[in-house]
Amino acid sequence: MDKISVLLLAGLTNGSVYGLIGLSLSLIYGTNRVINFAQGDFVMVGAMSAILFMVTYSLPTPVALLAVIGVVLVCALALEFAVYRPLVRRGAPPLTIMIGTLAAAIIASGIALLIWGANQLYVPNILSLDPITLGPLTTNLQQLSIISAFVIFLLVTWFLLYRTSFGLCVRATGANPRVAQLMGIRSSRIVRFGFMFSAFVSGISGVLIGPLLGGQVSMGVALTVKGFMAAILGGLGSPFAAAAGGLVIGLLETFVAGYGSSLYAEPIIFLLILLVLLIRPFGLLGDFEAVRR
Amino acid sequence: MINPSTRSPVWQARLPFIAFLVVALAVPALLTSGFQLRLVSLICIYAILSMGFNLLYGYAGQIAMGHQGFFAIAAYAYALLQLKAGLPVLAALPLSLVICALVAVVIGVPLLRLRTHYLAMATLCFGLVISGVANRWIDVTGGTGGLLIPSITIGNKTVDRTTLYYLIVAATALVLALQNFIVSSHLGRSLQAIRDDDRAAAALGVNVAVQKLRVFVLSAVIAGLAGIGFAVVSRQVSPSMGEFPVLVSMLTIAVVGGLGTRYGPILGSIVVVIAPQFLTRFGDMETLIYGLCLLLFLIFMPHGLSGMIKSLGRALSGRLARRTPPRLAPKHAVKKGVGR
Amino acid sequence: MNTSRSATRFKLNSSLKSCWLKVAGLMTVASVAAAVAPQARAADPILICSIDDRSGAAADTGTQGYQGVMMAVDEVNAAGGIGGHQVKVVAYDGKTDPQLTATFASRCAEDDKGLVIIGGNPSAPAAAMIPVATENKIPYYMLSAGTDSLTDPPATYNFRFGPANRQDAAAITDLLVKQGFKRPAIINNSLPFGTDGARATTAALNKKNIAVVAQQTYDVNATDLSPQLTTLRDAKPDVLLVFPYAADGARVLRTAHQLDIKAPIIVSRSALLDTLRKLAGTASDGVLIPNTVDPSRPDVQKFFTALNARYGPHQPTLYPVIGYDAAKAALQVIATPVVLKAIDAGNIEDARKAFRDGTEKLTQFKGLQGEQNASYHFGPQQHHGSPDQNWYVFILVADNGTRLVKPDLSKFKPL
Repeated sequence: MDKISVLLLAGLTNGSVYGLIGLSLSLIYGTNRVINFAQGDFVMVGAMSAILFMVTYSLPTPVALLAVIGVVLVCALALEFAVYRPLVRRGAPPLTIMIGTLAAAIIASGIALLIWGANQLYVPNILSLDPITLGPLTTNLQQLSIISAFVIFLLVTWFLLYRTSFGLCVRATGANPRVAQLMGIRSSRIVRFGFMFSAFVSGISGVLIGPLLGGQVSMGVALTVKGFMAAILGGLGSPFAAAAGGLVIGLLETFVAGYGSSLYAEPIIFLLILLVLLIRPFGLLGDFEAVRR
Repeated sequence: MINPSTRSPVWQARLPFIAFLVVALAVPALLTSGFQLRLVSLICIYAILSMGFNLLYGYAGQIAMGHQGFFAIAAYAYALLQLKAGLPVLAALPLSLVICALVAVVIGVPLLRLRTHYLAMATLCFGLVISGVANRWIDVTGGTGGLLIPSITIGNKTVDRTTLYYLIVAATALVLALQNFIVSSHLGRSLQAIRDDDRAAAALGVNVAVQKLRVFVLSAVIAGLAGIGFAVVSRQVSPSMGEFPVLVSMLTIAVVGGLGTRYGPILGSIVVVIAPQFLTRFGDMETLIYGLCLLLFLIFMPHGLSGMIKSLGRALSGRLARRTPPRLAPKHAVKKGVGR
Repeated sequence: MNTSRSATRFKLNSSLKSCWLKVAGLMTVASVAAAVAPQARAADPILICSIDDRSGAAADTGTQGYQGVMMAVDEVNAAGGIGGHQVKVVAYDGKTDPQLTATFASRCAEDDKGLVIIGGNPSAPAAAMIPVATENKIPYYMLSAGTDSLTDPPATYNFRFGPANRQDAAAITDLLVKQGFKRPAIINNSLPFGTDGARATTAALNKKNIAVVAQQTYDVNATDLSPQLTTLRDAKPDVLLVFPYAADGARVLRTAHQLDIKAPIIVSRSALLDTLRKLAGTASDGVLIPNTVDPSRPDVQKFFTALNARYGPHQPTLYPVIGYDAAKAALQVIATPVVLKAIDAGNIEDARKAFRDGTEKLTQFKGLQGEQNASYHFGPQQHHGSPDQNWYVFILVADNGTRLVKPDLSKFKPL
């Protein structure tokens, strides 16, 4: 019983990380059907900027946080104006835009390489890393903050999408961009919102995850892949499905490692995702996408 | 006086092929070192890999991000058949391709029901599984160090680099001819129909599932052939053959060369293999410049080098034709992407 | 008026366009010419190529190795070079990509006409250079890449200066046996460094009849490692062996601390890097690290003082030391008459062969690795330089992970 609760907590923590990235990915996908290869790099930028502002410039934490958010939002705008807009204006197919985001990811890590070097760096923690014991479970505030951030962002996203008229516009654009435009919704604004909010979520995730995973300019790719898997497993249709997919992957990982082989855990997870896709081609919860087709 | 309206498309298709052959065969005489020969061999190998990917994505519209897995599987099969089963090269090569085809069938039948992004992710999963196993199954695959491949010997003499290069050129020419043949054949047309709208294609009598599987297996085997070539040139198989950088190179070549074009893969490979060699002089800024160039390419040359050459060619022949509009529209205009 | 303006604009546009085309054409021709034309070589400098990973996952190791090489080369150049020749280092960044690394090795051998390649910290790219070295007959000094099979059986032109995984494992095993530990547990990351280290250590322990009571692998990006560490704790080990990279190692140490695992901990080389100790903080105190660099040796201290002055503060890790030793050995072999004669005659093939033969004669080369009186031993079939004895020194982490000190090993006992 103890073991299961330990595995559950670890699965939730790891899953929250993947879920946050999956959530951000599908936020962008929901507005313009683009898979953003540079999502993990938003997380990287968040973590590395935390180093820059908190360690190098020694700014007080709230100011540093605002600075990090600023940097990440600027990156989102850069992605939109430098990559998305020019490609869409030239009528590029989705794969080309995806490769465009890949190019953006390479550029981001190239710039980061010039600023921070290639080594893995120490990211300062906002919340304490002292252990907290709850019965058989031990964790710390930083890890709990990841789970809480996950929940908070899920709630915020839900509220935004389902309880505001702006959210209605976002959902409408996601459902059918042309008709939405006919209804007077400015899709360019919606797309910009998609990029910026998604970058915001990823940036904050980076600041929270950084102290645990370390900050290295090449950390983006692995996180992007995990985020993809989360979004695909859950279903690209809605951000909540992607978040759920992330949780499922996190839990699967810990349970496979705990009860099966910890060495082969990662390939087994990918195999399981493959199998799920075979049974449910649009992801576990991807009915929205299926209905669209 | 060449009148474009009387120039037959067959001649138009053959000319670049012959040009490629001439250049490829003359290259060893022009180059000064084995390093450059190695680079050109790599260009051919990446061209083969990309031609497989091109058939699958450019012409059939199926995004598969797992071809680096086949690249690695065939290479490992080739190495293991030689090292552990002691088979000679002539047996190991076709057998590895058969193994590759079998895996492709097993993966392809269930996966090809998926569409666009889901297919991309599912094949990416497949690629990740292969690379994960290759890294972890140390007893069989040698882990990250990989396996060393014995050099090819004909009789008692080891095949030297130039002969190896000619063999690779022969393979490339073969695959190129195969690709051109498929594209201009019934299979090619049905693939393009599937790419543009598979329901309409099905309504017109194309057996969508079978054709998709055929092209998937074919492109997997072609990728496998490239993998074996790569292993032979590097004398080594390692899990890095199944990892992300190969996928990124494949996608870059597809975009830079031009999707759905016959010679795009070759042009793209030239750029992708040679570029890092030029970029070394930039030192730390290399990654940044590579990304910038890729982005600029995407934005300003969306149809890739192939498209640019075509439009240049059209511009030039337009001037030569003295304002006579060509009767035949360019046959291989690039169709815009997937899922409109 | 309008037509003439638009006509001018049209003419300007098309002339700009043709100008652009001409420039593009010229650039293409120039770059092709630059690539194909034989490089003009100054007859004088002796060329050493440094090919390593300086921006990928193992960047610190590659950068430090390069710095070590540069220290040695600059020393020699300041003293006037070797036999009248200055020594020049051509550096390539292999980015942990084996294919790219091998291509650079090939380029060094054929285009740059280098005398020797020094590099190879991460295993896969290091392994990729071996066939190139053998085929081009260019000597290749491998640095810290640990996979055992790389020098066993030895390739004709490949020499290794760093320790092999089995030696790391043997050093740890010998310490455990000596101090009476009987129940080791292993935890490693799923990357090659982790799995290779775990494997080699398990094999070495089994040879001494010590069974590993539990072994767990974890993914580098998993933020919560309590499942793996709880499993290990439940197996009741008397010592914990960890094979991580920097950040995940910190997570392991902290989680072990949180879970109140009292067994002493040995962490592999990655704990020498600052990041791991900084992220782990107090949890890293008391951790032992096997190192092939003895920081109490005066010559080692002198080297690091000079290194820190030039490149910034470094902990006494083995990476720059191996680079330095390899470069010093290379310079010593270059200075032998046979090699110099071939270099002066401009015959690079003979020079490389003489260089290889000269390296095989380095049976007792004293470098900065190992204990004070230890030396590298190379020979005709012995291309792995690190000896099995007197090579390893254990280092203790202290002061909240900020300092690396020499431990009192008698205190390191099962609880």
